[in-house]
Amino acid sequence: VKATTESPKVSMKARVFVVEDDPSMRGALSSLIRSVEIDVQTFPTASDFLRHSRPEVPACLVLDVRLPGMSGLLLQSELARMNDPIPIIFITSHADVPMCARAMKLGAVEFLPKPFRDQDLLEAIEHALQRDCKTRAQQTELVKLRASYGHLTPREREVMRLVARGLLNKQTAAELGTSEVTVKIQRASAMRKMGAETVVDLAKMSTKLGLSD
Amino acid sequence: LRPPTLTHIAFFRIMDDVKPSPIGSNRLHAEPSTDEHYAQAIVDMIPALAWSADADGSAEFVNQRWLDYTGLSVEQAIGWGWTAALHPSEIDTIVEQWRAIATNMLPAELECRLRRFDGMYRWFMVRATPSLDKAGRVVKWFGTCTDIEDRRRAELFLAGEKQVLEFVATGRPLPDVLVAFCNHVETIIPECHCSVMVLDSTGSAIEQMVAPSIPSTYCDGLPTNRRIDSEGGPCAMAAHRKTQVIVSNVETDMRWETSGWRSLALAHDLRSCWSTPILSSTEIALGSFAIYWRTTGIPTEEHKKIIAQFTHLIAVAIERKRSEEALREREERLRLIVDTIPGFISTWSADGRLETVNQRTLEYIGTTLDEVVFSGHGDFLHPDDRERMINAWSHSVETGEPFEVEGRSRRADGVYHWFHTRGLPLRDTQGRILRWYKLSTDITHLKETETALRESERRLRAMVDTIPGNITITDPAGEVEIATRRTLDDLGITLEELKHNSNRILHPDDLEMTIKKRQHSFETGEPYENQVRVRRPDGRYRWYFSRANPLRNAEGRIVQWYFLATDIDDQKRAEEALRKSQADLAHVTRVASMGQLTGSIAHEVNRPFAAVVTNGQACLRWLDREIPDLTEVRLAVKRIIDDGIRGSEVIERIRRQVKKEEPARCLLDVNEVVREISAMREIYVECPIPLMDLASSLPMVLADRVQLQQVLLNLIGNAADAMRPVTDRPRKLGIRTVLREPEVLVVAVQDTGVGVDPVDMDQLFETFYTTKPNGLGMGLSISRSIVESHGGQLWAEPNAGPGMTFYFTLPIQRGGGA
Repeated sequence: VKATTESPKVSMKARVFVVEDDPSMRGALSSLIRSVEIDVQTFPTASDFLRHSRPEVPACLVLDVRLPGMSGLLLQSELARMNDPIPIIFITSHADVPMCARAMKLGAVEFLPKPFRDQDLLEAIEHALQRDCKTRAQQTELVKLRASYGHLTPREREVMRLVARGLLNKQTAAELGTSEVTVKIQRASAMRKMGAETVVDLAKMSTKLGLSD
Repeated sequence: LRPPTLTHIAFFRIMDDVKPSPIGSNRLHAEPSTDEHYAQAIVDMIPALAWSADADGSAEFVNQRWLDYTGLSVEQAIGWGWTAALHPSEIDTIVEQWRAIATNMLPAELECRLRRFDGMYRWFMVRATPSLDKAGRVVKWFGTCTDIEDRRRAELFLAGEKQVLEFVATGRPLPDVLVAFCNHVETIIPECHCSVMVLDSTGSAIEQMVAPSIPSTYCDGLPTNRRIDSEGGPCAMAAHRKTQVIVSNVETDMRWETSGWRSLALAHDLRSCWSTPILSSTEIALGSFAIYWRTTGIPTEEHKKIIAQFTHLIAVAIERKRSEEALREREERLRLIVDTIPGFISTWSADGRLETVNQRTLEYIGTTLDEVVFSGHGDFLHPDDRERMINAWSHSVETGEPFEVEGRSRRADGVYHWFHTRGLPLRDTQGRILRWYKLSTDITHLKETETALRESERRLRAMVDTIPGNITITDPAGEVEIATRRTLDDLGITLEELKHNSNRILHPDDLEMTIKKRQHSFETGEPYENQVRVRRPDGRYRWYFSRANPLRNAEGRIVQWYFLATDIDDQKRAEEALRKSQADLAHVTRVASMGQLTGSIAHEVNRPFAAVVTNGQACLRWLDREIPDLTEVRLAVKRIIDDGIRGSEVIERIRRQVKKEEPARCLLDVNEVVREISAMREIYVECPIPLMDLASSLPMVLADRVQLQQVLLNLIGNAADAMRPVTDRPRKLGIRTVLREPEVLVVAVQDTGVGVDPVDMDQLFETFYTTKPNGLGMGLSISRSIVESHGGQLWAEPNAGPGMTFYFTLPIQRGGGA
């Protein structure tokens, strides 16, 4: 398996974080992941990981369920509480079904019982990194869209909302009590400011921004 | 000079009120006829000055009385000679008037002064009637002059008195009144000068002195604000002695030479002075009033009469003025009180209309009285209070019941304040309401405090209700009085149920103990503390930690008990679980069955195996690379080897435990075993980390490591249990190893716990004997068996201080090898 860190939007190198208390297993995981050219950083406990500040790169977390102190599942809840979207791959030596179900429900990428096949782990890691890339790209795009949207005048926002709803210029003008020409100008201005090529683009942006009603 | 026959007829006509007097001897002429004689007599006898004149007004005849009065002769009087009797200042005007009357040819009257023979002028009323011929031309004028001096004087006196009293009545200042009075006196008594001296309200010092017709240097020369005595001058003396003081000749009277009054008076050409005290109706000296003359002299009887009249007048004026001032002062003071009182006062008409308010009220609402009266007071009330307050007011106006209401009124800056307003009616003797008086007090602070109090009570209530514990309040005997909402919800019962049988919710096993403890507290007042199981609405029992403190009154008597019960069930269970797992750990090798062990064995074994697999896979990946990374491979393989050793150790340990083989004794370092045990952190959850005092370079002993660990674990566990209830002193756990000569090693485990009752000491090591509620009574007996199987001894000794120390010995194997 060749796990690439190349992503169309994120050029920075990805990194895998490992939280595992068993020193030998920790070494083994680090070694295994490094063998496919991915950066690894390991921690013996959940709180060590929480204390560590992470760089803004695509990342995922390989997490042992049973840990001294804060358990892996508790760490997962804590990350969810903090709105930290880092994808998690659980590894465990004694997985039971309810525990597994709970973890997956909370968005775990994979749940691997020890011992596992190296292939399975690496595939899961690749999958997780891709997911993180996507999340980050969406996040970035949304931030950009919000910034652009912030530059629209209140009337341009109205026009954008109505156009996204599928109204023709004429209908929009009627709705807003103005002339069609004015609407055209305002629509063009909105598209320019939002960086939308077509009206369809504008409608999509509207959806992404959660404006469609 | 003979009067015509008709003369007397004419006189009778105009003097119809005059009765003829008996005929006297006043004859003017020697040879009159009887008729004429009679007529002449009448004309001379009538008590009036009579005369007749030609059509042009020149006198043709005057009667004897006229001549007697004026002292003029007939010759002097006739023609226009009579004008000599007129007052020089009036001659021209009177002559002119008389000529006008003569021209008019109509009966007429005029008043003028006529000089008496002795030079005195008296006022007369002159009446004239024309006698006409057939052609209507005036033939003669007939007239009389009647003395009206007394009437005139009375009129003048009245006019003066009226003016003085008017001045008083219209509130003119006292000096004005006094000046008017003096002018009045000087009009009535010509040629005199008048002064009035007024004393202050105490009646002992001069307040002011007025003498309008004397240069001011006279008054200024008199000492003011000085206590009056008889030395100051006649005025002071008159007031002081309350008697009239007559100075007939200032020049020769030396009584006031020293005070300087004599020279002052003489300097102003005052030759005589008559001072009369002015006394109030209650005979208090108000001042004195004096008449001065440029000549020497004493008052005539007439003067005395007039002076008495004046004195009375000025006394009335001053007294009136005084009482007026006193009234005004009182009013002013009242006004000041009303305006400065820290309240808002208003008066209202009987039909409920606003009449007036005090200054403070106007300042508060920031407007004028007219505006308030005009716009109506409703404008200043808070819209939410307006209707209620106006209704209450209407009710009071209708029924006459006292008005009392609380409401908000707007201040000038638009802020509303709370007011408490009370209104009472003033009634006349018939009980009819004349007026209402209202007093409003600003109670905003009070209201705010009240609101804050209510708010804090609400918060406290919310706090009490949300506090994570159950609160109940009982009377001193333990009868439930109040329980928080939460408590009742938690127990699923009503307050009534709780009141009637609070014991029913307790676990039967805890009942007796709970009742005993409560009873003890209620009797002694000592705080109550208990752990008790309480039944919940679902029928399950949960552990509660219940505490109560008494509330005492000022005398120290208990009035209530406050109970707080907190749910400690989870804690309690966790505690039990912990103790159980501790026990499990210590007993696991002896007690646990194979099945119970499987889980933990699987985990223990799986760990090294999983690591081996992953390390192996990593190893292969490094080898599979184009250029294999042998460093990584070496590290991975090294880890695999370690895992292998770890795995086999685990398996060996399990095997030993499971197979219950004879203890594997080997030579070991006791210190090392102690250190291993101390490092097992999980046993110290409720136990302090041991302070270790280990003898250096101990010889090896032949012993079973696992069994030794068990003994140590058991002793540490006991120490922890013994120290758990201790809160008032430090909890200390000490482990000591000592080499005792010749060949015995001693291990001591020391605690600062509750110790052991001497009664229990003997049985301490017996199987199934326990002092602990949850103990099995096996720990110490097993430990003793283990120690004894090693050839040692296990015993306990109380410490010099609190707690116990357990000792066990192990024999030392000299010369190595078992």
